[in-house]
Amino acid sequence: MPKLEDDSPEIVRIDDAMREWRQRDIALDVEWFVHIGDPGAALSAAAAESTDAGIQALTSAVRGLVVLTQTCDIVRSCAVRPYIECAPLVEADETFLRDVERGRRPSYAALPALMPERLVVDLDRVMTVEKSIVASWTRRPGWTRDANARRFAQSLVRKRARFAFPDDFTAFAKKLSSRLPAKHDKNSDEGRGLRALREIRVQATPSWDAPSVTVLFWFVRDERQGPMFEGRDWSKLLDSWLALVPSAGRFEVVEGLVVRLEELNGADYVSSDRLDLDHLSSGDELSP
Amino acid sequence: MSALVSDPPFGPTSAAGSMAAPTDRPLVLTGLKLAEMGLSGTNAFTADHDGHPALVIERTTAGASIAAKAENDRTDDQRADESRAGDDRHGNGQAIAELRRLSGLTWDQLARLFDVSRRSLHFWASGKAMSADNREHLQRLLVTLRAVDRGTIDANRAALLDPREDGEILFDRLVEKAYDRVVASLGPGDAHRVKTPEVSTKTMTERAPPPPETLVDALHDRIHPTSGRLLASKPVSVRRDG
Repeated sequence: MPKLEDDSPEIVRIDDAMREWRQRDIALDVEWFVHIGDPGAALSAAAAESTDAGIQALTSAVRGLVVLTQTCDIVRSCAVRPYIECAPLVEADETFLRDVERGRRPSYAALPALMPERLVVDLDRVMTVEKSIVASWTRRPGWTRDANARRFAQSLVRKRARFAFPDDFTAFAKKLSSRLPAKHDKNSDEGRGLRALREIRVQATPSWDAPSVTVLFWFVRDERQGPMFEGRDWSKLLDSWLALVPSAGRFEVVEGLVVRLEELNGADYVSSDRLDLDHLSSGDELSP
Repeated sequence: MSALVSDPPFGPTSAAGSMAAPTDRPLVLTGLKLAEMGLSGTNAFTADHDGHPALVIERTTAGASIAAKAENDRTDDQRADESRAGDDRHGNGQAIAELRRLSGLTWDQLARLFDVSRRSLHFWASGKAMSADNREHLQRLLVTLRAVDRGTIDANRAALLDPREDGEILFDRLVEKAYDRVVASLGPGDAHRVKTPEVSTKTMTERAPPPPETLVDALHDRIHPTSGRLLASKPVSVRRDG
């Protein structure tokens, strides 16, 4: 079959249908998902179930799909943007659902519209589908309000756009990040202080790959946190945090500040990276 | 303009007294109080780099209960003092941030204005108490820079760091605390800065990244157990040569 002409009626029909779709929209009537696997070296249940030899397109059962493609690409003509990326929906029990909603499970994203059905988005798997197929699906809006849209986008960013800190920095910052989980340790008030922050950013000067690096930690405190934390001023905590990251190896100078967001300027923010606490602090693999 | 610089908003020029209010200083406990609290050799008086005494308590297993007792023993006045101290420190952070924003100077250059290390400046910005002299200097620097504000970081930085016709560099005058000289040399600024509208707390909350508390509790899942039931398997036509 030849490729459709850009101005063909079929292209117009598909574009008209896709005009309604948005990122986060749901197709509950699509209960299949395709990925590529090799049953000869099966890494998933679907691959293990297959009795066929060689590389296989494996179609497995899912509870529906969610559109991940950004809305601007969805609504552009399929003549120039023919693909839609989708992720499958999977079932979750109450605890799992709450964990996903709270952001504790970065491999999944929650959508308020799916809460009643106890479904979450499995971000580990993505399938590319041509718009001509998506145009025939029944669309259920996943969008409720701006805050939800933003949270969903954050889930995608967190899963796919983490900055890869150099290995020697990860080792260097290990002692600091290991204080974070110690919230029940009453001797670790610096750990509680770290957990109360809005975010931790790190700036490397002149660059992350330089032979000699000055590291500046920006401990950004939440607006709701006052100038004192549990009766201590933040500089006392800063002192104890910096003691956990003494200069070592390439990281010859280590400095830090506790600031409110408004005290960072645009250049500070852009030239620093959010400390990847997801992966610095925990390497445990858990079953859902 | 000169009067503006000489009379900062916090009081007269002999401001050291008024600014050296008790709220400047960290809470200092007397030896008697320490004895009442049962603190022993794990505690030590030190002085911060401004020469102010500060109590450092090394945490022991009894640290939490000692801290709780100390909290109970504090009077309302002490709490009020501490709160005011907190507000001042909060203000120092804001003031240093504004100084950076207005001047376009680096942390190193700002530290030279106070003749302190970059680290000391970072600690002030983080809430560490400043000496009365340094707080006065900070406020006068701000008043001066607001008065001569050219409207952009580049223009302000150039005004301070580029040599003037006679070779004078006004940054050096600020180091010498010759604020009037800087204002007289540059004249009033003509900046018309646009005041950006304040974003609502709700918006800021919605835009906040996942907090460290959530990130650090992240669970690194294995793949979902229900992601497997096979419906169909179709060979992908890939020719394997050899």
